[in-house]
Amino acid sequence: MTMQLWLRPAHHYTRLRIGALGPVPGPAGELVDRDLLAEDGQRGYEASDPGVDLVLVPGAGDGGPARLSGAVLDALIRCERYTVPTVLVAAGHADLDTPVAAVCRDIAGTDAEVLGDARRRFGSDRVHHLPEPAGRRVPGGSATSVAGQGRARHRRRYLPLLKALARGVGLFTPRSPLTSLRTRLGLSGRMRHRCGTAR
Amino acid sequence: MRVCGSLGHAADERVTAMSTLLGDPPTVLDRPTAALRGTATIRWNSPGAEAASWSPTPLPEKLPADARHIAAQHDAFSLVVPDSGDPYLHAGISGAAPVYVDTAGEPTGGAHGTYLCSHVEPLARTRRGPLRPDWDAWAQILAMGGPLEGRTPFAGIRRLPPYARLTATAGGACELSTTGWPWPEVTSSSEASLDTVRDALTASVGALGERARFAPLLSGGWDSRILTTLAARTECAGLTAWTTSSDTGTVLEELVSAQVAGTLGIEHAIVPARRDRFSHDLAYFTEAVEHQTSFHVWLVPLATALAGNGATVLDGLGGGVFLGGAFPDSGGDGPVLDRRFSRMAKYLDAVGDVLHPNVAGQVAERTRASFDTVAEPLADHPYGNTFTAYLTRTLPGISLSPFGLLSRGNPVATPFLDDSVVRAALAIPHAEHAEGSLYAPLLRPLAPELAELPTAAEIPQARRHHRRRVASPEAAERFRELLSREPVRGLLAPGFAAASTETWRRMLDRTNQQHLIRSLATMSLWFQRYEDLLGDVPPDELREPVT
Repeated sequence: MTMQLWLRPAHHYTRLRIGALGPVPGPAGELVDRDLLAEDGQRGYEASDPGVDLVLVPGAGDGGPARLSGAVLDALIRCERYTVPTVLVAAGHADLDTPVAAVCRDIAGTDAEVLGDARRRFGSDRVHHLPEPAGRRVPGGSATSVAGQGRARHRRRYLPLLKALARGVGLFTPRSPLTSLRTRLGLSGRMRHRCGTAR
Repeated sequence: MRVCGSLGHAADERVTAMSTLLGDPPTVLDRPTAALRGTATIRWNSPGAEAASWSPTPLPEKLPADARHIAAQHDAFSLVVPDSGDPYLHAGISGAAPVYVDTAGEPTGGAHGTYLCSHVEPLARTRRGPLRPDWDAWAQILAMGGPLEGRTPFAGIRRLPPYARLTATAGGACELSTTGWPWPEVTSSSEASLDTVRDALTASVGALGERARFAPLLSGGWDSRILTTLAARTECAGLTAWTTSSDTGTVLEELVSAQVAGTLGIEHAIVPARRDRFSHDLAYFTEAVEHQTSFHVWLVPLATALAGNGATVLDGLGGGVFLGGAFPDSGGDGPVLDRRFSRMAKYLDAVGDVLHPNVAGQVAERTRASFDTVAEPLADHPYGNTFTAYLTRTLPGISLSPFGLLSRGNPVATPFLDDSVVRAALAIPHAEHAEGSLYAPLLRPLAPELAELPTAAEIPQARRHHRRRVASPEAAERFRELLSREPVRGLLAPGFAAASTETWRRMLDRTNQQHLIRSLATMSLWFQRYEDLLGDVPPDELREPVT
């Protein structure tokens, strides 16, 4: 699968629209476009499509939601209704024990031991290692501080991380190396950006 | 609940042997023509008779001195030994809790008698004489999810039907009477009120609450929502509702159940399934239901989390059938029996992918023959679809989740099968049950907010996108390993055993194919468990071409 995927043009990944349920610590947090918990008026079953490709859920140990109640529950129902994948960003073993963890589609993180525990519980296909971003990090970097340097440029530094998320939740499906090469050479007509349409 | 015993002139040794396999429960009755050993039993006496009753649901200390009343009011079994007259065993009114009998075994030590047990295995392991598979039962487990007409995987060991009476006659024979089941006799009336159903449910849960602490199961549907609401009204503090994933690719069940618990102000526990426990859970389930169905393997994490905590599990069994209008007749021009069979045996649609062509033919034919025996007398009944579903799906398969899996570790109650609830529901004209339209009006006076809250099934969802444990690589490998063993391998479609893991996962992602694979895995585990009793049993009967 890796051989089939590495030729995909990088800008496909940089266009990922990422939501969150509260502040996400670490590099993944710098990729968040919108915090769904901050959006008022989106209660119940009439809530609109969140308009993101995936939603990051910080672990309870990092201040993320633990209980299924209030705005967290509303946001998760909204995601489920519109088939938006939810990814728990787990930093500790206890993050895997909460009711919120039980309803997230996938698990991601950097700690090998925690991810090993998660694989036993949730299965390898649902657990993804998040690589560190390339190059020097922007101190206090966040979605709002990105404006000055350009979104795509900023996101290229996080390409491995974006790829891990996108491939992990299945937003990009594998295709043959020949198709990928034709796409890169501009021989396959228009390039297909599958964000937002794969769901 | 563990019970075993005998009726008629039976051999004490076999009862003792069964008792040993059940962990030596205490002796309850010990008379020349009837014996009973068991837990959770209540002794009672009436003028001229000695008796005992039992149920997986907690019983009151004092019972009416009449087996029929006990069956109707408490859905309990009774073994009655009159001073003069024949001893008899009377089954509960719903038939949901199983009692198995062996009437066909060879005499033990010259004694002709009927042996009874709450579990199949002690009857099988203590039987003298040949023990062989009931291939009709296995065909029906594959096609419908459970064996029909009281069959079990063992030929000759049968489950008692609802409200049945087994009498040991003076001549040594045992007679089974299945007439007199009152539920099909209930007539509907335009004057029947939903209030009666609500009052009956409230009374049922309320009475139970006086002698039990509750652990309501809570999904995203109506039945568990109603029972949890009633439990919350009965049990003022400390109530926890329990949820797990039904592994259908969505988490709306968990999310909606969290809304319900939050609205009721009760604690809510979600028990997730572990991927690395799939093999364990499959084996645990098949043993608990004694290899008769494979419907609810996903419930095992919840059952094991609850086991031994002493609480009475509230389960919504029967709600969808008797109140919710489930399994309505489909439109169409064909005979009603054909349409009902197609609906209940829908798994047959996938036999071509999973089963050898000859086996597919045998499964369909053996299932249809038994189905007609059960369904034909109900063809013109106003609630014919309801009773057909109840007798061919709810009892043979679904009932074993509460009264097999959950009852292994806890007392279990199913208030929707309370006699007064069923009678009140059946009194409402059939058409008024359609599409679950009675649920919200029933719940509204009890919990107005919950009556308006959509169920998980009512929330539109573009696609079920969560990865299912049952279709995971780990599960696919386990299923393939189990189905590749003889004699099950011989039942598979050519080339299926050697297909790639991805092919198996694709099959497991489809409802009908998955059902067949789960059922074949159940068969494989059954042959493994009883290898010492069955020996080498080729499934030749199932491979013969249908003529």
